[in-house]
Amino acid sequence: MKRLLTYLSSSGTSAVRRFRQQPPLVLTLQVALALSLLGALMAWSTLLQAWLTAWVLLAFLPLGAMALLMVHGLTGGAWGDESHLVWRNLVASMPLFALALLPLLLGLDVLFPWMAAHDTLPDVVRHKRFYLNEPFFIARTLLYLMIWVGLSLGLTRPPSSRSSTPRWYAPGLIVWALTVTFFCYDWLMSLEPTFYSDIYGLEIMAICVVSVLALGLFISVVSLRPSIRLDLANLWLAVLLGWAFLAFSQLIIVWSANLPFEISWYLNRSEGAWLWVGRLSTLLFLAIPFAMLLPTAAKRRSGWLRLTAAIALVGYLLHMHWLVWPSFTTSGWAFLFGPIAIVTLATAALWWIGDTRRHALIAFRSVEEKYHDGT
Amino acid sequence: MSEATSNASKRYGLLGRFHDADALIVAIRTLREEGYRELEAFSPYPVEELNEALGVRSRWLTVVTLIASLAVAAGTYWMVWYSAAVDYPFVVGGKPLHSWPPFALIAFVLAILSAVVTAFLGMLCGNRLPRLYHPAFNITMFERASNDAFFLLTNVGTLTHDEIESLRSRLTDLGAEDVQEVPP
Repeated sequence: MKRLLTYLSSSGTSAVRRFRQQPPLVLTLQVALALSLLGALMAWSTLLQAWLTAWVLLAFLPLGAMALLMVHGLTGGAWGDESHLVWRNLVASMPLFALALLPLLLGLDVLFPWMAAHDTLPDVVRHKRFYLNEPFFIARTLLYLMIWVGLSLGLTRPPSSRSSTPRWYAPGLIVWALTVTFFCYDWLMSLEPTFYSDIYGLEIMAICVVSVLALGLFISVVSLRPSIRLDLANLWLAVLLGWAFLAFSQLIIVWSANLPFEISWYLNRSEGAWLWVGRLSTLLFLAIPFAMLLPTAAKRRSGWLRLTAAIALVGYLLHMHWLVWPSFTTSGWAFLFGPIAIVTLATAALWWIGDTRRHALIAFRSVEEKYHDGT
Repeated sequence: MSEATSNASKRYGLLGRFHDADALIVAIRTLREEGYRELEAFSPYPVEELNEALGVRSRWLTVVTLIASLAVAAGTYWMVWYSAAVDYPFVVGGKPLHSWPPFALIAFVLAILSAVVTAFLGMLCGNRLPRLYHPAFNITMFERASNDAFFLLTNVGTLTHDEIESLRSRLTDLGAEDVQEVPP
């Protein structure tokens, strides 16, 4: 996309030349945002679906980082003392994600089947309408977003003002768990309103933390001491196994009960290509990282961990697509607007956190050089 | 005691007591560089660098544990599959005869059990435990190994008298607060 624009600009229109003077990030953001707006006009429902997928894919990362920061604040430990910078910089993008979810409130009728007329709904969904109705849903969403923005602002305050652990970390963590649970009941589980799983919230909490540990290690592993790498990799392995346990529990409970309303969730996800996306994401997100995180000596090596994290992040991308997309009846536009929405939100988040944090995230290599010079 | 004096040439080793873990590690590294290989270290709490300093690069336990758990997982899965799908095919709850979710659960659980048991038994074998006698038990100060002192035991079975004396002074040079001979 960028190359195309560079090419166009050399052909000389002044508007494009003005574009070119922008830094590449802002340029990408502008183009992606323009394409997203175009998508909103051309294929409103598909864009909403793509936007929601991109949102959960990306916003779960800062959400997971919040949990890590609060857990570390309560328990302490060298792993967090030396890696808090990366989590804090990721958490700083939360207010943007809160804003980016608001447009979706305009399209609830397109996204959620339970918005349909009361008479057309199956019985099992009709009984849920006291909870799944538009005003209550919007109120809840605004509450979650306000809480998350509040937590992120609290967690990204400069560390000098926080000599001791703030008292609100423990309640913050409880509120985090509740809001994440109910958020994904609302925004993910109710995409297929007949489906219900108790364990869904825990599963999403685990996946937030697993994915952000993979991302954080991918970004910052070179700047960490080998013993810290080992600690973080072990944390990652533990939460990954926790997630696998939760995901498998849900599968075996739904599979054993075999109720038509519940099993359809899995049937939708084992049709056609989704079956293979699911298998591939399990392989990349769970099986390969699990095997790679077993040998202790390798967990001290930055190259090994970075490779593991890259594989896991590809698996995470596939898994979130597998989790969200099969809920929708969608159009071919999804192939176009799916990636565009991801690029838009990712660049917007990078733009939002500002130069200092962005450079800190991208330039961890320089920290490594410092570390090697220093010791 | 009388046995030890009558058999003075026979010694198991020299036991050096160190004040802290760092001194112990330095002593181990130096002695290993000087060619002493049969070293044993004792500390009141686990010291992370000790394995590396002693040159213990034992991987067999983790490998054996992995192999045991994989073998048990495969064996269990086969057993469940054979009994449920081949030997006594019986449809439960309309599920297919070969239903992997519950089979995998049983295979996983037994794999974990076998990994734990293998690791535990392997640890005991590797450490030659339970062991009711060790020459170091003859030394009174050795009791402090579980309290506040760090010990380095050097096997001197093949050394001559002079070599033992030089090793003794070497240990003192390296910071040993006390060096005592350990009878066999």
